[in-house]
Amino acid sequence: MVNSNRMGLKRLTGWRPRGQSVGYLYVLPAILFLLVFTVYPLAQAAVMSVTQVSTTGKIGAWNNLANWLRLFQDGVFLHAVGLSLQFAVMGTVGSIVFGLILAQLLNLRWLPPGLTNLLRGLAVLPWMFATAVAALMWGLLLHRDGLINAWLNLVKLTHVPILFVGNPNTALASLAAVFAWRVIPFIMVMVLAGLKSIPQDLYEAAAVDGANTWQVYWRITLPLVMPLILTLSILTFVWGVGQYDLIRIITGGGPIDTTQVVSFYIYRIGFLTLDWGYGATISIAVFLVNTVCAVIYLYLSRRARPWD
Amino acid sequence: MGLMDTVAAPAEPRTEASARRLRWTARGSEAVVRVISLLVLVVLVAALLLPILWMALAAFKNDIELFHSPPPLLPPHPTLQAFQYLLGEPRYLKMLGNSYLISTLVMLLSTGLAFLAGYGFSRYRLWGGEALLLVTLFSQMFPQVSLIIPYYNILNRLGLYDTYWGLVLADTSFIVPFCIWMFKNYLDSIPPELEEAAMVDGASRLTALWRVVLPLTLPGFVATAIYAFLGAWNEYTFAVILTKTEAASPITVGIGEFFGLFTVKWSQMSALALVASVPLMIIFVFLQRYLMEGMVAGAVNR
Repeated sequence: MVNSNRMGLKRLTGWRPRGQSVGYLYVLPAILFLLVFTVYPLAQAAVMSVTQVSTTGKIGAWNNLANWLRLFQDGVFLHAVGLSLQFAVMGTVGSIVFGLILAQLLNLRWLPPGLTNLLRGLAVLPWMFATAVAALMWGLLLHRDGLINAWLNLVKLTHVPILFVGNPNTALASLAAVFAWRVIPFIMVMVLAGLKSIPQDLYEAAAVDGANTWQVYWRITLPLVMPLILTLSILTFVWGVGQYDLIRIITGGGPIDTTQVVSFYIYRIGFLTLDWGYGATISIAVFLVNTVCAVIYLYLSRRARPWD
Repeated sequence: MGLMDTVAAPAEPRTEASARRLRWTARGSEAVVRVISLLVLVVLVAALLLPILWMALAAFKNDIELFHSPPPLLPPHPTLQAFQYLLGEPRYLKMLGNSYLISTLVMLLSTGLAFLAGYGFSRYRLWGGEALLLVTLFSQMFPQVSLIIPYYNILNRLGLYDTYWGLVLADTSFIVPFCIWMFKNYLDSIPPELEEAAMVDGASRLTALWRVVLPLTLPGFVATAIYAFLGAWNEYTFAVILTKTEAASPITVGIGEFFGLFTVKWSQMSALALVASVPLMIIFVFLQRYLMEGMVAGAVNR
């Protein structure tokens, strides 16, 4: 559309844009910035992972891939990988399920638009607050004498308060719940945009053919938003794997290391044991895994574009 | 099921009354479904908001009321003690100031860099442009934590550890890629004929950019600026690693600090979190449209 207009203008006025290479000047500052502040640090982490690094961070001689070999034999690391996966899967499933339900409900046609907008606007809030603030909110709710325990006690579900974040059995799941709570609004807004972009005539055609609500949902709505849901799942999963701040604030890796996910392990190895080289190795490993996920994400998201 | 009904209907002659009854039950069951859906929706939204509300109320309670069983929903004796405590702690005020400064700098730097880059990507066909854009998009998936070690190392050597600027640079590197996408998408929706027309009339490209494109991009600019500001304001990972003292630490570090204490001062911490969320509330109340716009635009990838 834009391009054909542009052609029209060219034909009408005989004017042609100057050389395309001028465009690099606009892009250059940002690209330079990212080269210096993202690519260079990454490259440095890669170098640190294959060299001997002193406790002050000085890079020394080649280390024969000692760090990389250690990685695959490090039981604590492998355990941390397992915890990260558990955390990310729980968080992703939780946020996708609830985000999807909310989006579907907000998309109901008979709801007054004013009400939908109000509820949607309010439901977005958890996404906007700082992680540190979110951690505090949930610290209050999940406290031994907090609101959730008080309510559970009130309806006689429990007699002894649950130590949500202090109990090794519930700590990781509690953290995943907080993570999901933060991501639900994002999923909701995205799925809602996807739902709104489904052409109305598909529904009209289905109605003419006499399809009922469930048939319409399973045969039309769900297949059409499925690629989007898949894309959002990968994105959320990757965020979950990289989650650090929430875990650091709420549990600090505890109790007894049951929430020591990979991202927290990086911190511990680097900043607490000062083994910068090994910490950088784990960083690069996480980065590589995320790159694979990102490639899959990009490939899929090129197909799932409800916003066009 | 619907098909079956239409086929079966003529076979059995209906009286006026039974037809009315059928219609009534149909409407009745639909009404039930509607009431249930609305109920579920309201309950879910309320559940999402509960932690926020609970924290806001906690700031006006004392710790005994807070953890009393069963806890009173509204503060029985609303008190501003928690806020008074904060006023007596210049440390937190300093950190609040740091947050405003850092976020403003990140916002200016990110929108400046990203606007130019977005314009370049939108208006020129650059060799490798597509690939560059993909790489910037990729940063959306990139765990911040994988950069903390090299950042710490580099900033230490540059003497930027525990300074505003160190944190501003680190934050910007994570925020700018998204901003580029937002600007590119926004500029794609503005027809290039407008600035071309201005140039035909004798304006230079930069003048056209300043006088024609920029004003048209304003809504996109606001959305991007909000994204950048809030992103920096809420940031914790870099802040807690790359700063150490109240000379440079933003307020998120101050909130996180409370958890490390043996006795958590819950109501004071809630008051601090509430104060720290003021920019968000202002944006939420006055600029909500842009907030939502930025949220969707950021994830759009054409």
